[in-house]
Amino acid sequence: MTARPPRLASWLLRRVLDPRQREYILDDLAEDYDRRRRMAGLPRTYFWYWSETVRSIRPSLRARANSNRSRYPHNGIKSMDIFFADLKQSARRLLKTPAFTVAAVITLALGLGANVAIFTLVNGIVLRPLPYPEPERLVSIRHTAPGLGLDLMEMSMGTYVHFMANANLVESAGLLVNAGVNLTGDGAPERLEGASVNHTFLPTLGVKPVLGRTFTAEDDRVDTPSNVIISHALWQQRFGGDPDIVGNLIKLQGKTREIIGVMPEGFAYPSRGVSVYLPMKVPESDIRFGGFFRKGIARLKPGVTPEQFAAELTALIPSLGAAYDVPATMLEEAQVGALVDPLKERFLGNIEQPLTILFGTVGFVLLIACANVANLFLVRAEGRNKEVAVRRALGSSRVRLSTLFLLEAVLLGGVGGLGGLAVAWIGVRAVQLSGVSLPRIDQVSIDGRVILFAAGASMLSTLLFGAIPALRLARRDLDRALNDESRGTTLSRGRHRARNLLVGAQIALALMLLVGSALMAQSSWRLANVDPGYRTENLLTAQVLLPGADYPTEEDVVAFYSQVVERVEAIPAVVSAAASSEVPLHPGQGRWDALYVEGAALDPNTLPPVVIFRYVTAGYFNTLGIPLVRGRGFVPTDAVEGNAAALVSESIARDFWPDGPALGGRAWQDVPPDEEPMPHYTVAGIVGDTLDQDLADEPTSILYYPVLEQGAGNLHWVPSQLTVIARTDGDALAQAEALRRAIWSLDSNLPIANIRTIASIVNESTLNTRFTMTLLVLAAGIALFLGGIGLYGTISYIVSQRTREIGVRMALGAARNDVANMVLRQGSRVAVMGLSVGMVAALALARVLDSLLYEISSTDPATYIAMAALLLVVATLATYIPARRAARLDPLEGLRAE
Amino acid sequence: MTRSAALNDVEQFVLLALLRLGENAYGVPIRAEIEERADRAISMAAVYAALDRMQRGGLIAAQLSEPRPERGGRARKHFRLRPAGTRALEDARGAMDRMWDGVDLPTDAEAR
Repeated sequence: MTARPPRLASWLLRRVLDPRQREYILDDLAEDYDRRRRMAGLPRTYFWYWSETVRSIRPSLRARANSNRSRYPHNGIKSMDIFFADLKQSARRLLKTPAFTVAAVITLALGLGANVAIFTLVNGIVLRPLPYPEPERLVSIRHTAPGLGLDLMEMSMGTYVHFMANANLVESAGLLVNAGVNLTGDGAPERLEGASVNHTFLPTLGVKPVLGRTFTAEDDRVDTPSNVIISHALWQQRFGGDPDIVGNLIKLQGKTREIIGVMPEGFAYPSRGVSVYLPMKVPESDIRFGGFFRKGIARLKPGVTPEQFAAELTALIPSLGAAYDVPATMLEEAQVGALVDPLKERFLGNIEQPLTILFGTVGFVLLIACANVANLFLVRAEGRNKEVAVRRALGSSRVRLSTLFLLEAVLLGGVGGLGGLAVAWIGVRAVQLSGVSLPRIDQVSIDGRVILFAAGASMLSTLLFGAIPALRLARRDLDRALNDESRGTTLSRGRHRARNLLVGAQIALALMLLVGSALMAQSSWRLANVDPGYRTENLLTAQVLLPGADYPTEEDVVAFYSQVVERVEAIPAVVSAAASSEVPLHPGQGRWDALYVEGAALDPNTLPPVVIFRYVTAGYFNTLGIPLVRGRGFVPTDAVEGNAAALVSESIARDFWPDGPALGGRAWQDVPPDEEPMPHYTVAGIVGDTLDQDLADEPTSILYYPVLEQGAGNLHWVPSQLTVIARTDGDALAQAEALRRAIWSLDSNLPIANIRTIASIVNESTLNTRFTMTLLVLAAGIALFLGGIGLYGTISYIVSQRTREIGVRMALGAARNDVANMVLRQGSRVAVMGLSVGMVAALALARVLDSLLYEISSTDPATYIAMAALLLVVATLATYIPARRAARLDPLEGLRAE
Repeated sequence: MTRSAALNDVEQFVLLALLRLGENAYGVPIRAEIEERADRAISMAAVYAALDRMQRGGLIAAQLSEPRPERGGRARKHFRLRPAGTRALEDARGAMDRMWDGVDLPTDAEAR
């Protein structure tokens, strides 16, 4: 019985020793241990073994470190050297076939570039968290009232106060209202984007001013001075980064305010352009149920989900009735609900879906690119059968041969990936410069995550296109390969199957992309050519905001409306001019209010339908080109109190006076007529319907009321923000300076914002659709091109392989047409197979486009047939060229060919 | 094949031990020989590191013994010199001899 050395020491030794010698050393030591124990006794031997263990550490570590290097010359080649030699060889082989290499690299760079570019957008827009502390706890609060036909409303002061007083799951919350303000004083008057916020808003986001202080509860009160916090950008640009800016006074909206703080650089809530934050001063009387225009945000307590918070708020809604004296039946009728979304989603809006579709699309493009490169590889591999057979015969293992071919793929994938990054960079810059209004687009850039994605994508595609040929080559039967090629007539069908499958798949994918992009292109075209009900060309608009300090009374504002129209019409190039409270295609600017008409039955518990009330000068319809359908336009005498005339859109006439003539009918704004005698409008004329809010939507119901020439009392509040509209002869934008001077001739202090043409507004409102459409068409174009090239390459190769067979056929009397038809048949078989699969797949996938399509069905048969036909034409062309070549073959040459 | 480096002293001790031990040259006696004759404390790991180096350099060859009962039925690894090893040892000795040739160590008194 031999004694065993100490366990712990042996365990340590095992870990330390050079693995190649470990077992012998441990056995030797065990043997020695046994001998010494008998001679010197246990304690001394025990100590000896431990000292041996400690002394082994240094030489063992050194031996391990040196195990790959030898002090002596050697015969063998180390594995890393083999790898580099192989790599060099692969690179050299690729350079020797530049046509193949360039084709493969460009294909991959396009496929990968498209993916990396879209990922860069997704990464920057969707994946990146909001730049606030613990952004996952931030939510937005909105309301829905489906019973009113309102899917989304902001919060009202009433719902905010009620919720915050009763909700337990929320840590803090705040309100914001967008506001445009005029900055006057030193330098040119400037129109600034601003936001008024209550004092808890900025702390809820978790942001503090870098200079000065944030708002306090004091600032929210109506009886305290109205201070202002400015953005970092405004501080830098307007005030030169003055470190003593806090405490300075600036003139906003004609009112002098004290700057109490400067926000940190890069803070851009709710958007980049916001440069002043004002306190939200709400009088007690405004804390009521109505007025749903305040944007609510909240920071949830840790661990609370938006769903839990939404449930809590929903449970609080019935008690709103008692709190603000709202009939419970009305709350029910309106189906008021609370909507809680992660704040980030609020920013992304509806951009996520088009991006997802684009991501899927470019994924298909990459698949097509990979199929194409795999095909190129297969063709190339066929030409190397002999080389492979010889290498195998000389003793190369299958693994080593596979590695060799995979290395070529890795090199191509790597270079293609780099090219893809370059393509993506260009693509992202192009998207940024195109002016498309994607959220956070200015902050999108290629970062580490994008590079990681590019590396991953190129690795994955390398596996896709590299593995098939590498495996096929290495598996090839040795002597069959050596003999096969020599004088064979026709290659076996099986060897073409892989290539046919790849080409068929490419055609199927290409058809899907073609159908998708054709559907998008058609709906985009329809949207661009929709008749909005007004003439969009040669219309120039400018927004003016009249500061309350300089225009204190309604008479002042009304006078300005009439005067500005006179001045603008005096410009020689202006055909006609008008002013109105807002322009078409500015969703959200319209003044929606309840409309009551004479004779309509009223249920006190039913909410009345709402329409837009728009304040216009008499020339509005003529200037925009909106036709007068019945009745008359405005005349100066319309503006008599109690007998004010209004014009209504056709849809109002139809919906509110379904049985009788609308002309001469009486209408009330906001207040039902039976409660007390109220001033009313009399319908004097009916004008054409317009697509006023959204080109893709139904016509908007609008009631137009006139500017009062004499300002003799008023039915309505006159908005102090107005839009001046001018129709010009010739290029409208060329008159921008003349328009500006005309307005300044009335008041040189007035800032003028957003001078633009209606055509450019139309253009912008369809920009996102066109952006998605353009990218889809681009992707489909690449797919079509790659699919055609793939088919062409395969058929060409098959023809070249069958040269001898064709020679024999011709020698035996086959006509040239027969030969050409034979080749064409082969190509069309693959094409038809791909088209059938693609048709089914496209039908299944096109449904995801449904929500993006305008006036076209996702299963529109004409589109499907047309795209299949287009693809068939391309496929036939791709087959026809090699077929013609085959038919022109000299039979003698064919017979001689190998 | 030429030598690229001269033997260090541990390598020389190990080679000499192999020569002295002959058939019985494996880890335990090699280390014992060096410790007893040269009065050098040396760990088994250091012995094996030298053996491994010289084996890869072609100076020595290794051979496994029959399974040994005292090692739990496992084999010992025996080493012997190859001609290159013998030459390397001769070179080392020749170099050392030539260095010693004609050298008289100063006596204790002179050194002081």
